[in-house]
Amino acid sequence: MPRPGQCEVESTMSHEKPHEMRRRNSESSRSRRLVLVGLALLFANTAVAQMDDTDRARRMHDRIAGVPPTTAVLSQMAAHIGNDRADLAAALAMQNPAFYNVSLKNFVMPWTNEAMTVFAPLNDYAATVIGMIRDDVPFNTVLSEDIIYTGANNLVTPNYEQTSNAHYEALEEAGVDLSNPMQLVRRTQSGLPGTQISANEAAGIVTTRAAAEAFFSAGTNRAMWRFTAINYLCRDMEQLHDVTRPGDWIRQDVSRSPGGDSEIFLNNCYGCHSGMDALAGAYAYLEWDPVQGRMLNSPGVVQAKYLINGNVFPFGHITTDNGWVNFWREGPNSLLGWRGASDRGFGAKSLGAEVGASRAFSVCQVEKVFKHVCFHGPKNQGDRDAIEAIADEFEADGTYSMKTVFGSAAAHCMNEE
Amino acid sequence: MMKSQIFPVESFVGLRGASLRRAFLTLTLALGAAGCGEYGGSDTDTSVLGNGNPGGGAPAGLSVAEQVTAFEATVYPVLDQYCEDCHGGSGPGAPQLAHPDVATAWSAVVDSQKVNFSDPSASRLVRRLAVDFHFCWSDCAANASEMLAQIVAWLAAIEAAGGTTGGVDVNGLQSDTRMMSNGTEEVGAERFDTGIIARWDFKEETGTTAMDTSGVAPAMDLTLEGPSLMSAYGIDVTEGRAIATAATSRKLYDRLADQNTGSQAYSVEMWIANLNTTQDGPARVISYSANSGSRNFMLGQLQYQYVVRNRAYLEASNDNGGPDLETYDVDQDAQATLQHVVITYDQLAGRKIFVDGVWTEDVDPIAAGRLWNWSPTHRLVMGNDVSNDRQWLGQIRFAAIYDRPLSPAAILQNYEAGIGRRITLSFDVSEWTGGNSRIEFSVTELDGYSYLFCAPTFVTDIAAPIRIQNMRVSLNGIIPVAGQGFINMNALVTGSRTLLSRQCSIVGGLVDADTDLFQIHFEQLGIFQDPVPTPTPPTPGVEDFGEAQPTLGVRNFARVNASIAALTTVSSENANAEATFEELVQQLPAGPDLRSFVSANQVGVAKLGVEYCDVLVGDDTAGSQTLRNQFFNTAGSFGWNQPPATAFANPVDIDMITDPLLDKIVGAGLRGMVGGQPARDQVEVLLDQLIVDLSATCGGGGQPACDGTYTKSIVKGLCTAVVSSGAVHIH
Repeated sequence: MPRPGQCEVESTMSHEKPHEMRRRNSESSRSRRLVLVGLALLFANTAVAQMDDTDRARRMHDRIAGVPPTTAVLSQMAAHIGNDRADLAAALAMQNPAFYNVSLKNFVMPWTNEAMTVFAPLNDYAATVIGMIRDDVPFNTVLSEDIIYTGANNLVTPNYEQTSNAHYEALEEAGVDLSNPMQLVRRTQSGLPGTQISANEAAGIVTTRAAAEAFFSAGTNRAMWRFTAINYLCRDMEQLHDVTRPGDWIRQDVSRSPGGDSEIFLNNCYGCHSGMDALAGAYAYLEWDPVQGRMLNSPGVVQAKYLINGNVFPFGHITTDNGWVNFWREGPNSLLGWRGASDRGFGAKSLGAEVGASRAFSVCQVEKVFKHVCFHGPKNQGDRDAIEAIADEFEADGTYSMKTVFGSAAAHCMNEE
Repeated sequence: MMKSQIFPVESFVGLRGASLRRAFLTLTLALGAAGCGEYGGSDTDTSVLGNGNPGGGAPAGLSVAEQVTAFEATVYPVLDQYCEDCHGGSGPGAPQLAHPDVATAWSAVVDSQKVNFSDPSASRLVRRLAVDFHFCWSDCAANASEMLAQIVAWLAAIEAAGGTTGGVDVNGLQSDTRMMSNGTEEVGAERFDTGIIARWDFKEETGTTAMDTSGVAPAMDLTLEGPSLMSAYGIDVTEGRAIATAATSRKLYDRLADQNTGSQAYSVEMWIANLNTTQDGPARVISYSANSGSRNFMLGQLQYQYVVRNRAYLEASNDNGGPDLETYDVDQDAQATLQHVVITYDQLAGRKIFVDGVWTEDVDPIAAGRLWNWSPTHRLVMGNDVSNDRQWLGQIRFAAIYDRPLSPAAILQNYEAGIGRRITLSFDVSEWTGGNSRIEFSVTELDGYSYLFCAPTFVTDIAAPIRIQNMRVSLNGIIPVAGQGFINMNALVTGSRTLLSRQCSIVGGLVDADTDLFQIHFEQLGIFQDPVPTPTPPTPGVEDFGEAQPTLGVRNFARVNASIAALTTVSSENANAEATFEELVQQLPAGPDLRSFVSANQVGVAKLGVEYCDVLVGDDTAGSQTLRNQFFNTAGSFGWNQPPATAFANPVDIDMITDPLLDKIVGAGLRGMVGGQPARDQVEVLLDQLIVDLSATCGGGGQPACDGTYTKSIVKGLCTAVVSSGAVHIH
C-alpha cells in the first residue's frame, strides 16, 4: 500500500520509462525531465523503503571495508544474510584488501599519536594492530606480546629500521597490500636487528617505535599510561579519577601545593596521580631518544625522567625499578573488571597483560569497533546490550578475535534505519 | 595462634576501657614471653626499606608449621627449582633458602629478611631478579614477576589461614587526640646566615607589618598594603604589595652599591609559591625600584621563567636593570609550588639564579660591573612594583638579603633547612602496646588548606616487637580519604625509636591551627586490629546515551579515495590521482559524521572525482583508452570522437554511457530509498538531463567547440557527477 504523498510520484515513474521519455521531442522532454528531477528529489527526501538483504549486505560491506562491494560479493553476502549467517557475510567483506589498507588503518592510526589524528603515515604500531587483526592473534595480547608486523624482506627500501619510520612510509607509498601475509609479515620485536627489547620485555604495541616516539618522548612517561587507558580502556584520566586510593606512589615531581593551594592537589591531582604513578612505573626503563630517533631500553636502570624535579616534593615516591601496582583494583575503578594474574608486577609486559585481561578492555574494543562500523556509540539500551554480548563473544574461549567483533557489530548495525 | 589461645574475639569487640586493655596486654605478653604463642609476628622483621613501607615482616597469627605449609605451596617450589644449585645447602650460596628441608628453607627466607609482605615487590627475592639480574633462569623481568606472584600467593594463603592481619578485633584502634598547641616547635636545621643584612620570617601572623629581623639597622620593615600574614608563617599576596620606606631601603644602597661602603655584590634568598604559571609583566616578586621603568634589582616571574634585573655601571646595562637574565624557558624553572629561589650577584659571574638549591645554569648575558649607579632613593617592594602596576600573586614564606654572593653550598644548606613552622606532635598509643609508646610526627602547615604530617617515628620502651600497619590521620574526627601517605605502611618495630616512613601524609581540611584536633588511626597496632573494609564500589548510574546521532555517515578521506578508485577501476597509485589525493586530503571529510560535512568537503570529493574520471575516459591516444573500453564495455560503437549532438543522438547511445555508470558506480539492483539514497532510475533521469544541458553549451561564443573532445568531457562530467555523489559516499 503506497504511503500518502508517495503514490503519485511512484505512479509517474512507473508509467514513464526512460527510453520512452527520450523519444519525445527535446523541448517537451526537457521540461518534463525538470519536473521529474524535482519530484525525484522530493521523493528521495520523503520516502522510506524497507531494507532487504542486498541493502544490508551493501551497508555491511561499506562499513567494514570502506568501499562498495563488487556485484558478485554483494550477491554472496546478501545470500549469507538471507541464510541468517551475517558472520559469513562479514567475513567476505573482510577479505577486501581495503578493510586493511583503508578501514583498519583509519581505525588504528589515531591511537598511535598524541594528537589522535588519522592524518599520519603508516607506522609499526598501526601495522602491528592491522596484522594482529588480520591473523586473528588474540587481541588481549596487543599490550604484552612479543610481536610486530613489518613488510617482507626487501619488499620495499628500506627494510625495518629501529631509527626511522621510513620502512612503513615506503610500504604505504608502494601501496602494499596489507591483507597479504606474504607482504605484511609477523615478526618478533626481540628478533629485529638492533633491538634493545628481549622477548620477555616486549609489550606489544607499547614497545613499538611509533608508540615510543609518541608517548615516551620527553615528559615523564605518564603519557604512555594515559593513552593506554584512552585507547584500550576507553577512559581518559577524568574517568579514572579517584581520590580514595593510596598516594604513596605519587612521585616527587608532583607539587602537593600547586599555587599554594593543596586543595587543588587533594581534589584534582591526587585522584589521577595516585593510580597513574603507581602504574606508570612499569615504563621506568624505557625512553625515546630524539637524536637517534629510536626507543631506548635500560634494564635495571631507571630513566632520568622518573627522577627529575625531585625537589618539588622530596617526600614523594622515588622510582627504583620498573615495578607497578594497580591501586584501581579497589574503589570505583574496580568496576573495570580487573582479572589479571596479579595486581602488581614489573615492566610494561605484565602491566599490558593486566590491562588486556580486564573486562573494560574487552568492552572498549567492542565500543571502538561499534562506533567505527555503526558511525555512533550506543544510542539505547539495545545497543548497550549488544556491545556487552559482543564482548562476551570476543572473550569466548580466549579467542579475542577482533574480526568477530567487526562482524558482529556490523551485523547489529546493518538493519538500522 | 593468637585468636585460638586468647579470649574469644567476640568478647573483646567493643571493649573500650583502657584498664581492661592493659590487663589483657599483660596477660598476652606474659604468654608470649613464656613461649605460649606469638602476638605480633616473628622476632625477625623480614622487611626491606622501601617507599613508605619501611617495615614488612613475617606473618603473625600462624604457627611455624602453618607458615611453612603456606611457604611450601607457593614460593618454595620456585626456589627449589631454580636456586637449589647454589642455595640448596651444598652450594656456595647463602642463605640456604632452597634447602631440601622446607622448614629450613622457610627459616632462611624469613630470618634473612628476603620477603616483605607489606610490599611484596620490594622483597629481596624479587629485587635480586628484577634489579640485580641475579642468576635469572630465563628473563629477569619475567622471573621477578613469577617470584612476585608466588610471594603474593604466599601472603594470600597466610591471610586465608587467618595470619598476617590476625589479631584481636577492636573498634576504634586509635591514638589519643592532639592539637598543634600540644606540640613543640622544632628548631630546624642550621642555616647559613653570614652576611645577612635584611631578613623577613613573616612570623607575625597578624597585623599589617612584616618585621626585618636581621638585626642590621635600620630595620627594613615592610608595610603590607594588600598581602596578609599567614599562620604558617609567610605573606599571602592576593593583591597590592609589601613595601619598605625609602629611608630604610637606603640600607641596601649603602651596604651594597655605595662606592666606599658597598660590597658590589649581593644575594637575595626567598621561599615563594607562585600562584600560577601564567602571570607575566614580569610579575615582581621582589624589586628595589622606583617604578616599572627604573630599578636597582629585581626578581620577577614570566610564566615558567624567572627574570632577574640588575643595574650596573656598564654601558650594556640600563637604568631598569636590563638586559634581563631569564631562566631557559624550556626548563620551566618557575613552578606554581613552594620553591626556594636565590639570586646572586658578584663581580666575576654577574647574575646567577638558583632554584631549590640548584643553579639553573643560565649565564648572565653581560659582564659584571660595579653597582655605583644604583639609585639611593629606590624602595624595596615585594609582590608588585613601587608603581603598583606589575602585580605578582602567590605566597612569600621567607626573604633575606645578603651583602655577598652566597656560595652554592650555602644556598643548598639553606634550601635543605626548609621553611615554615614545624611542630613535633606526639600521639600516645600506650594503651594498646603497654609500656610507654607514642608516635611522633613532624607537622607543618603545608599552606592555608592542609597540614603535612612527616617523619612518623615510633618511640617505645617495650622491648618486644610491635606490629604497626596502615595508619591514617584524622582531623577533627574525620579521616580525609585523599592524601593519606601511610595507608599502606607495615612495620615491625623492634627498637626504641623507629622511623616508620620517609613519606608524608597531607591532611586536608585546615580550619584553624589553634583549634584543629588530630588523631592517628591504625588497622593493626600490636596485637589489636581494626581493619578497614574494602569499600564497595558505587553502583553505576543509568547510562546517558546522549543526544540522537545520525545512523548514516559519509566516507572519510581515505574511503573516498579508495571507493572512487575501486568504482572507476583507476588505480589509486595512478600518478595523477595520487598527486591530487595528496593535495586534497585535508579538504576531504576527516570522519564519518554527517553533521560535520561541509560544502568544502563536497568540492574536494568532486575535484578528486574529476581526476579519476579524466584518467578513466582518457583522450584520443590509444594507450589512454584501455580503461575506458573495459569500463564502457558496451560502448564499442559510441561516437567518442563525434560532436555531442551526434554522439548522444539516440537513446541507445546514451545508455552506452549511463548504464555502466549506473550499474557499476551507483550499484545495480538497489532499490531507491534506503536511507535516502536515490534509486537507479532517479539518477538516470538526472544524468539524462545533464547530457541535454551540457550538449547545449558548446559551439557558441566563449564556449568550447562541439567536437569529440567535448563529448569526452561530457562523459567525464557524467562520471564525476556520479562518483562524487551522495549516492556513493553516504552510507
